[in-house]
This record gives sequence, C-alpha cells and structure tokens, in this order.
Amino acid sequence: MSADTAQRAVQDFQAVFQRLRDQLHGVIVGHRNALDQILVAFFAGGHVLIEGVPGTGKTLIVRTLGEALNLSFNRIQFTVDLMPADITGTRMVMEENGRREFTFMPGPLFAHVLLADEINRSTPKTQSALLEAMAELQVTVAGTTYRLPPPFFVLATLNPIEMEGTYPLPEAQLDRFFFKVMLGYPDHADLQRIIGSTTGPALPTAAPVFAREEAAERIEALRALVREVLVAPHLEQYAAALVRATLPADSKLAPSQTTLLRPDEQINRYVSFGSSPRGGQALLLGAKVRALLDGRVNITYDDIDQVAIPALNHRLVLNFAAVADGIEPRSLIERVLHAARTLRH
Amino acid sequence: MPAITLGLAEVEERLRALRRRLNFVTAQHSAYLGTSLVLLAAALLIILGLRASASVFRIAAWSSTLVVIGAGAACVVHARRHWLDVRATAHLVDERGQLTDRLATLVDLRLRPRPSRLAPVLVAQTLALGPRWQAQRIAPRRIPRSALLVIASLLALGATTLVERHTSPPVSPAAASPSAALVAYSGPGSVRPSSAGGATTTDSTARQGGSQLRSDLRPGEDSGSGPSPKMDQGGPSDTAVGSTAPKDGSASLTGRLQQAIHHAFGAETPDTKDELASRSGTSSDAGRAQKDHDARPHSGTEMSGNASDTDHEKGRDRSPSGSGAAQREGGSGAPQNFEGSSPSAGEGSSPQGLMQPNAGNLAAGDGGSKRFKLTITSFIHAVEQRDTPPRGTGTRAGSAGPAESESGGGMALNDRQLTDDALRKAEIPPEYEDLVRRVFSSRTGQ
Repeated sequence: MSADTAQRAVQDFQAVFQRLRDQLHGVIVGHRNALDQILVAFFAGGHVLIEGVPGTGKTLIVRTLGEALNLSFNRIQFTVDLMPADITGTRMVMEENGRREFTFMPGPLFAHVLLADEINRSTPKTQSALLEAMAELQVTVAGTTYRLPPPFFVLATLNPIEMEGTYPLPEAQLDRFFFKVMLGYPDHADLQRIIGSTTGPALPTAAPVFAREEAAERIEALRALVREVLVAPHLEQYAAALVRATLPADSKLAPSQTTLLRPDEQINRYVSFGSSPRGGQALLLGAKVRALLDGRVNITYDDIDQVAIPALNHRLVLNFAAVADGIEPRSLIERVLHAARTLRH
Repeated sequence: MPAITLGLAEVEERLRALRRRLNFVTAQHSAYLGTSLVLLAAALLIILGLRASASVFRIAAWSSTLVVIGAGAACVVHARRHWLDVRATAHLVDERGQLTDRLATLVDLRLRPRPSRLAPVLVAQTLALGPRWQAQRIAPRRIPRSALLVIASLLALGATTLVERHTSPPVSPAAASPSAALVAYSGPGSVRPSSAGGATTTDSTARQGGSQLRSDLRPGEDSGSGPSPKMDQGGPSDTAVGSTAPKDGSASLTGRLQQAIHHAFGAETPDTKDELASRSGTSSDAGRAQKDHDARPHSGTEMSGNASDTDHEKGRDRSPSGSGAAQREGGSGAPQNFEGSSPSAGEGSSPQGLMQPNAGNLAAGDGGSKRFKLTITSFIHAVEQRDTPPRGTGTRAGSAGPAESESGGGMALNDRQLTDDALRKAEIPPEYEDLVRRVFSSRTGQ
C-alpha cells in the first residue's frame, strides 16, 4: 500500500467514525464521551459493559448503534430464569422430509451486535455462556462449535442500583469486556432535551452509515487498519507499567520482579487483584483508535492515558476496605496515571 | 517498498545530523564549564598567591586542584550522561519539534522492521513536518550561555592584575635610636629619591633587590657557608628574610608556584612582609640582631661581583672612581678589592658580600668596610634628617652618625657619594632592614 492509499484509508476511518458519532448524537442526548468510548471499543474489536442507572439511555445507545452500523442486531433481556441455551441456542428435533433430526437452532447470540440487557440479573451460569462467544467468537453446543459471523460486538448493560435478585459478574467475565463505560445522570439541559425529544410524535432514529451488504466487510477492514497503527517500544513499556502498577505489592499472581513504578500505597491497601494482561491489550488497541482519529498512524502517551480509565476500572477487584472507605477504581487509576508521568521521555 | 526506504533513509540522515549537532552542544557545554572552572581557580590562586601567606596558599592550591579535578570529572560524567544515541535523539527531537513520537516510532521501525501498511504514511507525515525539526530550530547555532561563564572567568582572571600587591608596612620614623630609625624606615614614602644625582630606583627594583637578598641568603646557597645557627635563631634566617624555601616536598611545589606568581606580578612575598613587619619596632629584635651580628663575621664589603644582581646596580655609574673609592679606604692595610664593585648605593646594595663568614677578614676594621659603613651611615643620617636637602658637596666628617665616628673621625666621601644620596634615591628594601640594622647596631654598640 502506498503512502497515498494508506493516508486515504486513515481519512476514511476518520470519516466513518465521525458519521457514526453524528448519528448517535442525533438520537442520544448527552453522553458524548461515553459514546466515543463505545465507538473506540467497537473499532478496536472489543466489547463494552455499560453501567448506569435506569432510564439513562443504555438500551437506546445500543439499538441506535445497531441501526447506524446497519448490522444484525439482537437483544437479550437477562432474567433470573434465563438459561445458557436461551443465549447460545440449542438443538431441537426438527422434522424434515419425513425425517426427524436434531437441528441446531442458533440463539440470539448469533448477531453482529448483541445487547445483553441487565446482564447482572441472570445467574453466573448463564452469564458465562457469553464468555466463549466474547473471547473466541464461537459457540460450542453439544460438542459442535459454531463460528459467530464477524464483526461480533457485545454491549452489556448493568444496573448498579438494585441489589436484590442480581448476581455480580464474575471477574473472568468482567475481564472479557474491553471497556466499562459509565453513564451518568443527565444534567438539566440534557434532561430537558431528552424529555422534549422523546415525547413527541416522531422519535429520532439513526440513519445507516454502511450499506447492508458491505457493512460487515468494511467494518472488518477498518478494524484491521486499527491494528496496523504503529507502536514504539517505549509506549509498550508504558502500557505494561500501567497494568503492572495496578497489582498490589503482595499479590500472589504477579511474579516478584522490580517494577518501573513504585507500588502505590492505596493500591496495596484497597486492591485485591489488579488488571490482567487483557488490560494492556485494551490500552494499546484503544490508543490506536485514538491515534487514527487524530490523523496519526502512531500512538502517544496521551492516547494511552485517554483510554486508561475505561480499560482498567472494571479489572481492579477491590477489597472490603475500599468499600468501607468509599474508594472507587477510577481514583486509583488516576493515581497510577499521575505516578506514570515520570516514565515519559 | 522503495518509497518508504528512501523516505526512511532521508529521515535517518537528518536525524544523524541532528544527533551530531546536539552532542556537539553537549561537548561545548562541558568544555566551557571545565574551562571556566580552571580559569576561576587560576584567578583565585593568583589572588591568594599575592595576598595570602604561604600556608594559606598551599591549602588553597591543593584544594583548588582537587576541586578542579572533581569538577572536570563531573563535566565528563555530565557529558557522558547527556550524550545522545539515535533513540534518545529521536525522543528529544519529537519533544522539541512536537512530532508526537513520530521519529521515535520510525527509529524503532527501522531497527525492528515489521509489516505495516501505515509505515509510508508515518514517513510521509514526518517529512511533511520537516520545518518543525529543522536543525536550526532543534539545535540552533548560537553561543551557549555557558560561554558567558568563560568570559566571566577571563574577566576575573584579568581582574587579578588589579589586585594590590603586598607592600611593606609603613614604619614610624620617630624612633629614638638609629637602629630603631633604621628599622622604622620602610616603604617608598619614607624617603624620597633625590631628583638630582643619578638614577632613581623604584619600589619594584628595591623589592627585587630585596628578593635577591632573600634568595642569596637562603640556607645552603650562601657560598661556602652553612646556615648560621644565629640565623636559625631568628636572625636573617629563611623566615626572617621571607624565604619561601619549602619545608617539605609538597610545599615546595606550592611555594614555587607562589613565587612564580610573585615574580610574574612583581610582588614581594607576603611572608617577607609579615616577618619584617613583626620584627619592626621591637627592641628584642634589635638585641637579637645585635647578637646575630656579633656572631657573624661581617663582610659588608665584599660587594658582590654579581654586578647584574639587582637593578640598584644597574644604572649605577660604575665609574672607575667608584672602584678607586672602593680601593681607597683601607687605612690599616692594602687597598681592598671589591671585585670591581664600588660601594655606591646601587652596587652597595648587593648583599652578596655582606655578612659573609669568609669575608670577615676583609671587613674587620678595614677601609672597605668603612667605606660601606659610610654608606650606611649616610643612610642613617638621612633617616634622621629626613626632609633635609640632599647632600651635594662637602664632606660629612663629623656630621655622620656613630658608624662614621668609628672610622676615625670621618671619612671623606668620594665624588660619587657626594652626589649620590643613597637614601634619597634608593629605597632600602625591607629585606635589607635586618641586615642593615644589625650591621649598624653592632657598630653603635662598640
């Protein structure tokens, strides 16, 4: 690929991203930063966990994104009695040509964009049904593996208020989400626009950015372009240092090696388990998307810092002392980022 | 990918040029810092060499040497630490040129080639931002601020020429005894050289003569004589005459350095000034000088054949009459030969023959010593009679001090002496004070 061709590819990525952003902003009031994070995770090839109080637009965001992407979209409302087969699909006895056979009936998981609404309402058994699909883009039912059509994008929503009848997500499942996006309560101006635009005769909708037949192919090409963004070794070192700094000093998981950053005292006090290596992958891939949006083909320190909080805040397992002291993962990650400035050239 | 290869080569070449330039600036800084430190140390040593005593100078010299060596090592370490390799240069240029890590990424791509369709874009973008990382912008050619340190150091070094030299402390002429008067005399202000009657001498030449005296009387250097025990007791010893002869090996180096500074700047050694000043005005010193003088055979007359020793001698008219005068006296014996020197003021200031043990025979009660004493006597008389007009004519028989009376009722001055007011024209250097005082005081005591 020549320099001109590659430059056009970068510009195309920027244009597509901006169009998607515009379509989402046309339907969703506010949440601009959250929407950008969701799009970054989408083009980085990851899945997103959206946490917010009821009525803040979590489901609307996912549905609107599906419409804008013009990809197949399915929604799963997680309930207490939801079974794994209800998600992945099951084999059913079907009669065809006078013969009865077990036929696999794909579940709602088989879609390009999947909305897992209130995922913490179902049992961990059902939640874990998503693990294989999210990590490997495949489902195994009755010993048979079925590939999921790319691109496969899971947006799960989380209601932080209700504790009764909910099941906290296992750390293994949490770790498979690329970003965790927090949706805050809208401010007064946004609230006024929300109630004004959603109570009229016509509801705003999003126009598709891609044609149906080419959407999947183009999105895959854009995702491949993101992975080709260049990373200098000192930035890989920086990302690794950030991930390593989230581990407490007495962690049994991490080998006893000298780290580039001094262990933070609050990390040691409040964190039981730090981020996994997937956190480092999320940092670099998210930084690559940020670089492309800025028209660059190489990442910088600032690109990594911009995606650090959504990439790491759901990977830190806090202890009871943190709950008692009201410590949020975001504050701990900000401390790590502040300390990591010493690593910058 | 020939396009990217060409572009990478161009980026690499520019980066190498920048690296050379940045490292040159680093080397410049270190060199300037080291040079300024050396110059400052030299200025400090010169000032201390002129103003401080030998012991203080010794301490300062070795301390300065250690500081300069340490600072030099620090400059080398600093240069080594700031020496840039290719990666470090790329980071620095990225930062200064606001290239957002493009160069660092390109350098890594060059070192670790890996397939990426976006590499040509990175090269193109980096080259497109060329004005941001031009050599003149990243490392402009200008005189570094550290050069100001060198200039300041040079100015400090030049300012050392304005340092006031050591001068002998002024001695009060209002002394009861001639010896005291003699001891009290010092400095150029005491007696003004006569405008008539020959060449005048300057402080510097007087001091040089004093220096000569000091060096001549250094122990072990006296011809044929060892250091007198009386000398060791505080007479015209090394310290008495301000000799900076080293006591040990390390002191000799600093001592020589200090002497070199003094020679270069034409100053007298501070030890000489201190020692002589400490002895001025004390009777005990005079008494000691008296004993020293008694113990030592006086020559006083062996006017050294070192005619070129001092500037006193230079310019003096070594007329045959002088020689004749030198040979004239000697009432008790054959005329004494002073090896061509005549006891004129300038020639008489040569101390080579003074106090020489082997010249004692010559000095004892002979005409040569009388002739010398005449000179001293006239000197003393001139001290006592300051502000009197210079002697122009006539003999001074009976009008001189005790020394002259000892010589048998006065000795007629020769023509040269009549017109040569030793005191008025020549400043007696402080180095001579002790000798002259001893010579004179020994005669006054008799």
